[in-house]
Amino acid sequence: MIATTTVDCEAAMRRLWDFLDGTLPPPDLAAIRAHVDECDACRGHVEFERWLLLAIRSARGDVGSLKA
Amino acid sequence: MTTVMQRPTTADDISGEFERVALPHLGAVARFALSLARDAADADDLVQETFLRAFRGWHTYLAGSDARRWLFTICRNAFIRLRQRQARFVESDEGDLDALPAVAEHAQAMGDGRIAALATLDVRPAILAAVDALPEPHHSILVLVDLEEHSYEEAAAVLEIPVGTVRSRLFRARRMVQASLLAHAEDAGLRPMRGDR
Repeated sequence: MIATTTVDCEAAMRRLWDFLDGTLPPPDLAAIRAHVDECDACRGHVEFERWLLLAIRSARGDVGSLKA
Repeated sequence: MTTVMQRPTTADDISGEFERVALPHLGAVARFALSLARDAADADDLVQETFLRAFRGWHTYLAGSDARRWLFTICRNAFIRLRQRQARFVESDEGDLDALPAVAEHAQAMGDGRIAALATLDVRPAILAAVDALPEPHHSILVLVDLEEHSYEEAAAVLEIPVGTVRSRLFRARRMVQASLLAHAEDAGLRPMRGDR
């Protein structure tokens, strides 16, 4: 768990996927959300990774068609 | 008062319970097997082996528990044994999650137009190809969590690895898919030439 209520870019991005997967405890979630809201660079990165995650998950129905 | 679920004792009853509880997951297991084996014939063998082992070990199945997860674990273990027999399965070290390089890579892709290019492309085929190309053990973890919708904890149980290992493998797998997509954008010719910027 992140001890303080503020985090820097590195700390926020180390928890990026936990943040997007919704696996963070509420205090960490709030701290990272606050950082992302204030940091343009991190916000852009989060938005792209969120898009990537949705794109991967949208392929769910085609997983059975994967071929060697 | 604790209710103890009665398990069948006759061969007919066992078969009936197996058909009722395990067989409905045949499709999901077949998809998982195909995603692991990446070969239709190997996947068929894997499914057959999975259900054979499941039937033989049906007495170890805890009545009322998650049968799909139980079958996935058997399937995964059968796959590992298959790969070990074929001497092709290699476990890799994970390293750290390289958080800041990922941010820098994204910033570079924003600057040179690859991110914008992706928005104009049908990325579904590229994602399927990228997922298919993932090496083990990253392929399995991405399939389990992102495609089969298992939680980190469920994936850890299926693969019999710590949750922290699930996390690091999954994040690295997603980064590999991301790198493939950015390369796809570049290959599609949508990336501005360096001299144009």
